Amino acid sequence: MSQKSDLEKLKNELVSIIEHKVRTPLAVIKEAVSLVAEEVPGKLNPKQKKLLTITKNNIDRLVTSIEEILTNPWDKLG
Amino acid sequence: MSGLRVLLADDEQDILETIGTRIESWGYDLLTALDGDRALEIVNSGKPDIVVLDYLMPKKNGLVTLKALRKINRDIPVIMFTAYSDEKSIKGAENLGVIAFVPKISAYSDSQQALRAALGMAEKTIVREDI
Repeated sequence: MSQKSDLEKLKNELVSIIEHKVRTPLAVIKEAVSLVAEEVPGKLNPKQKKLLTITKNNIDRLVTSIEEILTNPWDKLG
Repeated sequence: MSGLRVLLADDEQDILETIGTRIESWGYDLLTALDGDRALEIVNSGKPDIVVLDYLMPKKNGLVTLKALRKINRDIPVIMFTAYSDEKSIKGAENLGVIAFVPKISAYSDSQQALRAALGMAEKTIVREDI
C-alpha cells in the first residue's frame, strides 16, 4: 500500500471516530447546558445565566470547528 | 397538541435524559428505550403516538429496528435521530415512512428546532389519520 493511500485511510478513520465519538457527547453537553440556561429545570441568578450563555456560545464554536473538519477533512488535515 | 406520547429510543442514557427533558418541555409525554428490542416492545404495546429513533444503536440499529417496527405498525410516524450526516442516515431508509432525519448536533442548523418541527409534522400525520 502506498504512503498516500495509508494517509487517506488514516484521515477516513479519524473522520469516522469524530462522527462516532464526538458528536453524541457534544449533543448531550449542548442540550444539557441549553436546558439549564433556558431555566427549564429551575430559575437561575443573572451570573449563572451569563456563565451558561458563555458556555453555550463556546460549545457552538467547537461544533462549528468540528463540522468544518468533517465537511472537508482533506483541507483541514493537510 | 399536548399529551401525545413520544417514544425516544437511543442507546445513550444521557441522550434520553437531555433530549427527553426537551421533548417533555414541549408538552409531550415521554417514553424511553435504550435499545431497538425495547423500542419494539413499547411500539407493540400500542403506547407511543410518535417514535424518535436513533440511527446507530448496538445489536439492533435504527434501520433494522425501523424495518421490524413497520411490520408491527405501518402508520406510526417515525423521526430518525442521528449523529451522522444525512446522506449516511437516509441510505436504506428511503421507503420506510420516515417523517424526517434530524441531526443530534449541527453547526449548520438548529437541531433542537429541527426536532420540534419534525414532531409538529408527525402530529399533522396523526391528525390527518384521525379525520
